[in-house]
Amino acid sequence: MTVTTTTALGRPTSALGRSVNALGRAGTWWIVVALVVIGLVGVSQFGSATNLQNLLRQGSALGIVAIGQTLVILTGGMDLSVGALMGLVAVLANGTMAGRPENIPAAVAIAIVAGLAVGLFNGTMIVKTRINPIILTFGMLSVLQGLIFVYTDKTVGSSPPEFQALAYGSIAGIPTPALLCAVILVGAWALLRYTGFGRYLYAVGGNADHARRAGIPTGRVLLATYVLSSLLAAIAGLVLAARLGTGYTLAGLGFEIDAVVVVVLGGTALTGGRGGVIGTLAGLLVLSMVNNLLNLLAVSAYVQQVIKGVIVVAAVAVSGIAEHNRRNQR
Amino acid sequence: MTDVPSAATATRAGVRLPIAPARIGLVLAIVGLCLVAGWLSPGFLTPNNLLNVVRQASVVGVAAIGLTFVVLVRGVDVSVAGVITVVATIATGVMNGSDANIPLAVAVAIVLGLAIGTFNGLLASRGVHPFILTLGVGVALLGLTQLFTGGTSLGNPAPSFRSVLNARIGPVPVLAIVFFVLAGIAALVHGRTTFGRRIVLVGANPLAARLSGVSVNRYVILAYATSGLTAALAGLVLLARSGPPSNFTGMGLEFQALAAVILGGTSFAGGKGGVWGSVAGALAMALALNLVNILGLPFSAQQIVQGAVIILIAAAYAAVRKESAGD
Repeated sequence: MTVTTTTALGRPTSALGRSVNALGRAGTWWIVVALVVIGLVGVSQFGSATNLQNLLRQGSALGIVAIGQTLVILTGGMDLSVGALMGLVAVLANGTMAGRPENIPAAVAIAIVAGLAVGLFNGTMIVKTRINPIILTFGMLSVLQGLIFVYTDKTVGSSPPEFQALAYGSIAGIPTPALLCAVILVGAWALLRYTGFGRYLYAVGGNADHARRAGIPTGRVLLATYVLSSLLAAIAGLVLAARLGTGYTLAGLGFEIDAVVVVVLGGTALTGGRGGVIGTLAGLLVLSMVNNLLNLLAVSAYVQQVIKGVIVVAAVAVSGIAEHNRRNQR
Repeated sequence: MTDVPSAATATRAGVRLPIAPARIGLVLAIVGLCLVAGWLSPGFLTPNNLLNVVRQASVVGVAAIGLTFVVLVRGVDVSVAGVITVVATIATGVMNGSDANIPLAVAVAIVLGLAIGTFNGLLASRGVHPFILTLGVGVALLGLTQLFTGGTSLGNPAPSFRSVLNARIGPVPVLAIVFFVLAGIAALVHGRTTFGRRIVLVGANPLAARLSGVSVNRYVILAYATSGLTAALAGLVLLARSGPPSNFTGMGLEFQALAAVILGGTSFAGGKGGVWGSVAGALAMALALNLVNILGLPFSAQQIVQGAVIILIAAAYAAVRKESAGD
């Protein structure tokens, strides 16, 4: 539905075209509205304050990592290493804290260093060797998962209550992690909307060669994007660490796919150059509410996994076919 | 058009080595890995053990054969782990411990693999991002497997299925023969048939293919169907080798199959590479993981090794391409 409107009008060169595209992106917002209505009408516990707070708490880590993924996908790339990086940060942070509040700064520092290191590695490799980012980060996923098991083969450490507040606390009635996610979202939106870096990012994703010829430092833009993605994954890993309260070795499993799906649901094109973080928020709400509703309805984990796979396939299929038609029509 | 399939003709005869120094590098890597392993563990370089490595490589290797065709048309298929698991599980259920059911089980496996592959191909040929698409299909398949079994393994494979495929003809394991026969067939299809040449053309230059009247979509779909088929066969090989599957039997195999193809020199730029390269890649992967075992390193080291291999080799190929593009 979303897509046909965009398809019919082609590239959003005019103000009209742009607003139609924005409307198109609002397609996902209609799904959000529909899910809220279904939840409120059909599932009794859905509207309770506790459940809504839970929904926000549970979606925050995914939201933070999906914002980073949005930036990467806007450049035409993809970062599949974020889930394993979150898992690595979760075990390292909890292992470092070991229940002691005085170790919190060290744990945070380690998380940031891990994020920086992975981001610099990914970005440098992509810029210097022009390796396919998907293959690079897919390999990185395996390496990081291996590093988790080198560090520990069982659940390790624990978060002191002061740190768990990052996941379970509230500020003015709003869950702390949701607030953190919102701040990052606004920051990313402003970065894309009002800075040269944001414009460069769209340019690189639209057409890297043209961007290079126009004098845009494409290498530095890509490097910065992958560093941002990894840093946000590290922050998401800290939120995850606080929520789990202990370093579970498989904590990050699958977050990379969820993040990509959230971004795609949000209307950002996997081919790069089109989309933004506001759409990602809509995608996040859709995926979080679907998960929440399935849990409330006590649907078995196996069925949930099948539904998850179907959502992934449907999301990329709709967005891919729409993009395909758009290009053929041009 | 005649000079485009030269990559294909080069791969069909091992003797006529093309320019690719990467392939010589791969052979050297295999020899090097063997020597290091042999030096570390005296029993390693016996023919018996080396044939065992080939047998170990057969699951990943068979899956990598079809994956090669997908990568040749600039796609990727990471649903192979899901296909392997679902096929091994369902074939076990269909066999239900009786030899009479083997043909039916094999037929079901083949149909299932072709169906999943065709589904992937239909969507991928219409511009759907193949990586995320096949990742999602893999997730759904693993979920369906668990739904089907309820979390425990169902039934038993037929006794002759395992005993025949695990036997040896002379010193040579039957599974190794199966692996090489399948690779030989695929290499012939790639190098000597119209289908193979068109796959190469579609991968090397989709526009030229379209202009010369080749249906690009059709060959993309067929490539994915081939990958589904070989993944299903890999599922049967796995069932023969390791017995009744758990829900996570195939997990991680998509990394190894992809690593084998990339190691073998089939590039994502499309059109270049071949089946024997992937076979060599699968052998190198098996040797590397074997070496990890010999060194007494844990499973985690295997994950690091397979990830590092993917990164290093893909980066090396990409860097070489960049230089030869003169940029």
